[in-house]
Amino acid sequence: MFALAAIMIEARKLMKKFNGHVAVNELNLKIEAGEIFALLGPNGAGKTTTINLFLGFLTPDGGAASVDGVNVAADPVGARRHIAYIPEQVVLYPRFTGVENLDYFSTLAGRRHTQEELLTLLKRAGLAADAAARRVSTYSKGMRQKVGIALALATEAKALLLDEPTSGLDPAASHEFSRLVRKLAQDGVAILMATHDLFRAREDATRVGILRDGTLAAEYATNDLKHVDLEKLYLQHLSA
Amino acid sequence: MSPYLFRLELRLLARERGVWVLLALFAAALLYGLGNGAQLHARQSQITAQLNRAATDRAVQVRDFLGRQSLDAQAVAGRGEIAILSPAPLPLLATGQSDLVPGHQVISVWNLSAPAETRSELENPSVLLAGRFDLAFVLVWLFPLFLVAFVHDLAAGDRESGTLRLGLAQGITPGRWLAHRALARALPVLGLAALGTLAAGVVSDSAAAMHRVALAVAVVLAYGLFWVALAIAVNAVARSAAGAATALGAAWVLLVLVVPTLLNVAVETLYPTPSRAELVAAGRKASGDAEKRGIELLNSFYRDHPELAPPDQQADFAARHLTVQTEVGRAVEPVRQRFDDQLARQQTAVGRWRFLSPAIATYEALTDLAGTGYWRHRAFHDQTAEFKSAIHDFFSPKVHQRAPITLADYDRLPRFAFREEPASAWAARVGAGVAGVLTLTAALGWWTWRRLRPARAGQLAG
Amino acid sequence: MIFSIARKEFIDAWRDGRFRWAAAIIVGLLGVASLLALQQVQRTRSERAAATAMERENWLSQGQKNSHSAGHYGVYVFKPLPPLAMLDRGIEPFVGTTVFLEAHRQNQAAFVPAQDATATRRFGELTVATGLQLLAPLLIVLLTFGALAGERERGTLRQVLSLGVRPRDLVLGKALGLGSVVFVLVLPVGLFGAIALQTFPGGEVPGGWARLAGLGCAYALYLAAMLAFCLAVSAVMPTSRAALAMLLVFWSANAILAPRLSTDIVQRVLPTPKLAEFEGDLQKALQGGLDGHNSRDQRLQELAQKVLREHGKTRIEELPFNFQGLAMLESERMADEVFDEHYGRLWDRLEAQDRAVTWTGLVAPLLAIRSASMALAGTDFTHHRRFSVAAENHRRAFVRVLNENMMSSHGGHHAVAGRELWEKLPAFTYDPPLADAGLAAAKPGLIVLILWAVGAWAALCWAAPRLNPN
Repeated sequence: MFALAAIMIEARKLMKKFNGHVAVNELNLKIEAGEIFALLGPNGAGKTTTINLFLGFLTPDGGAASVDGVNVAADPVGARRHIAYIPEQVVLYPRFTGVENLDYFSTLAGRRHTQEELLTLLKRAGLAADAAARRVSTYSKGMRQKVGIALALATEAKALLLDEPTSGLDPAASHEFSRLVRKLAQDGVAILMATHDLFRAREDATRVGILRDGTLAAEYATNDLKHVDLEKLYLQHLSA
Repeated sequence: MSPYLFRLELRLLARERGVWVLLALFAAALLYGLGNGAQLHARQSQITAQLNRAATDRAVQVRDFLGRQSLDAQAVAGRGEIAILSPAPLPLLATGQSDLVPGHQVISVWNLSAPAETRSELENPSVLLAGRFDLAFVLVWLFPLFLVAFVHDLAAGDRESGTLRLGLAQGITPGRWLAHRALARALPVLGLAALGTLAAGVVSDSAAAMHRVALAVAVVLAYGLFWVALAIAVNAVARSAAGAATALGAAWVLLVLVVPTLLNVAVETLYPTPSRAELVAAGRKASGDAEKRGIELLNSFYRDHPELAPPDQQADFAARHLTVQTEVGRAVEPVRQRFDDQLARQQTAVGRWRFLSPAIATYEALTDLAGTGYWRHRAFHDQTAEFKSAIHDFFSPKVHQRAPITLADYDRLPRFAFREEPASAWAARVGAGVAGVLTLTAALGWWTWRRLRPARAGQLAG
Repeated sequence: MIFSIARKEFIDAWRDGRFRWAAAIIVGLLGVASLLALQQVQRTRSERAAATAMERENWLSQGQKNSHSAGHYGVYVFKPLPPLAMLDRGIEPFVGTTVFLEAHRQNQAAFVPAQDATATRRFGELTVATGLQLLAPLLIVLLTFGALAGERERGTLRQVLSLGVRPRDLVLGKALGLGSVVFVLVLPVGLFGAIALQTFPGGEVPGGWARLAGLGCAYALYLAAMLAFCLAVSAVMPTSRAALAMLLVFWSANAILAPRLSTDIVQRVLPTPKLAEFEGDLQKALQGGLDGHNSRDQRLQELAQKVLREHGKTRIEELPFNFQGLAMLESERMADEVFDEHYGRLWDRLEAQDRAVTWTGLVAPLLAIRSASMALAGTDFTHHRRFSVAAENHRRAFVRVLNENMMSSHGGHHAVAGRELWEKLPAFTYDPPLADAGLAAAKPGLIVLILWAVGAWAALCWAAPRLNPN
């Protein structure tokens, strides 16, 4: 279906060191529009560092990260215009309502929307109008994640970076979130998701990669895998 | 500049607790300062009016008397002529030195060497020590504190909570975001400060005063922008909101409290004024010597000015006294001159080094614009000295010739009228002050802008 | 237990790089301020002493003249700067330094140093006193704001209390530890004062040691009160950020706002009379006597009648003494009464204003320490008044001697006196008041400081057992 899809998220020999310690080691990664790539790996494997390199919050020590063909290190702001980012904890301004937060952050991204549009976006992200008009200080974690999704919709991002998006969500909220992410992929967004959640990775992702000491140890298409296989493979790669 | 983002930042600010309380406190401080200035101004103009009235009444009396008969010079010169500094053009802006340095001086040819009039009003010295709660105090001391309260947390708090990461991931450049946020948050405080400064012009309606008000607003805004730029710079490096607040507080203490006192110490050590005790002693010695040599001096005087010698060659008391006074004036002149020169050097040094702290530059500019600073009082001092010699030159021939003063003579008696400095003089000094503060602001801005390059966003986001 | 906590706090504070910087800056500033002030006090004192000697010489060598003319020639006296002005200059820059003593008139001290300075002087002066009054409390704020609130945030407070440490011990230990840090920083200032006093040129300073000890106690009270207050705030506030905000607001209100606001309000409640009114009343009283009925001429007339009756003469020329001299004596006496009354009332008012400002120190302790410090250093208005009164007494004595001379000499206005008479008049010497006078003037300030110290420590003791670990 997306045979001719463009490569949206790409890492070429991406390298990052902290005080001599290699955090990301010559990472090669290509994610096309419509794909969901799940980056698995233990704590400290380099998942968040990779995401920070794509966001331009870190400068690579070698290789390049690019988003929609824009080299992140050369033009971080230009690259970020194509990215939506949902951290583990979506932190919003507590004294603003959901609509106001969405308005504010999309303005920061250089996008302006009318009130109706903002409400529609939040509704598409699964947030009801009455909830959207409440101050964020009353929101649950799942509701804040939905504002994050709405932000991705609002900025019409071509690449979505998710950092442990479902940790701490209850199963129902987690399921709801996955549904929204898959919907975005269907609409042609390339998604990089760093996660510990093997179940969700198997369910949602088109491909999974296992990161170990900054190196991509293995890469599988999820269609070829069963859940049991994935867990077994994951543990194998870690103990190797 | 995105007006919409600006508005959103303002809305975010308005939701914060305490914002309205702080703004109300600042407005109250401004009003209180203005009120105090108005009160002090009323007191000073009352004094000036009284003095003017007394001088006019006396002139009328003397003219009235002279219309009937002539008087001898001694009687006319007896009580002295008064030199009055006209009221300051913008007194509400800054009290400056006006509560300390007298605004009038009585000049008598019989007392050219005595210490100048030292006060225009009774004042508890501890009031002078504490300083006035005037508009300049609110603008120079409190205004930066209120600004810091509003803009100390531009990014540091967001970094702690994590919103900074999310915001920067949207692709806005850090510099742009911080600038919007800083200006939006500073706007209410800057606006109130500018309004307060404008209000200082309400008592004056002349066009020249309006120019001064406009320039004063520029001074205040430049000073405010400096603090805003400093807050952005601190936020570019601070690790926490508390750290940013501490750093800005320390900067305030350093720039407003410490540096001015250090500059003070430095200029007084570099250019010490001769002691006033020395001046007094020199004058006394000269007058003692001169009195002893009175007759002799007078004789030598008449040798130099035969045209002034009276027919009987007999020096009377008045002529001798005048000669003594002239001699004393001449004797203390070098000491006095040295004193004035050193003080002028001190002020010039302050002018040169005022940019060490924008607070000094702003205070100097505000007092200069108000007409209560060093320069206007200095002009009064210099014009008084001229007036003194004019009075002396007027009475001296009459006293020596024992010639009576007629109505026609009296109309030629020099009258003191204070000549304001040309606008170009104060505008140049104040303009340099504003330019200096803006240069400091620009330098800070440039440094911050380099720190906040988009490639460094990660460091900012933490 | 308390001591091991104190020890930990002490070491902890010293290891904080930012604190070391702040402390170094403040101690450096205090050092510069002390040395410059010492030099300045010594220079001013020697200048004024030299001028006094020169003026005496002028007086003695004024030559032959009528003794009343000598009264008009007058004498200048110069106010000696108290040695402890090196620590606290007080109001000295804002009061005159030189008084002209002449017949008929009580003159005010002229030559106000601040008039002869640039306007930056109005930013305040860097002295040991301002350093201890303004900067030391700021250092205390920085030391203490996180002492308890910060531990609560980090969770270490839960751990410490879970070990069974009594909250009161913890709080007192911290107070002791941080207090020693402040003490170590302030100690050099005290030592400097002692050394400067010991080696002061011109020998021992009367009452100097007692005054210095008083200053030490006053500042100890002030800083102890500040320390306890700041710790109490840190104990009560939920976060260290809130504690910092609260303490910075308190500091600026105390140090920046209070001095101006309080003097301003006191001026409204107890206004200083206007100069024009004061002079008007004074002139009226000089002409008409204190009761305002008998004019001066009338009273001199009465005096003449009375003296003539006593001596059984009919014309004043027949009196065995110069009546002009007696008339002068009498009119000086009458004028002196008026001066005492009017200046006394004015000065009482100024002292009442200063006292009222000191009592507002109950809200802002800076005002109390400022007043106590000036009084103990001998640079407050009470001490200035003492000097003015001494100068005025000298004037009266010297005018009286001249008039008595005139009374005993025949020839009236034409009689001349010479060096013999001038030497009979003693030179003006001013004995600065001893320590008890300083202590008396400092009393209201000290009382307020004691109240603050007791109150702040009570608040700390109240807050300690209620320390919330969460």
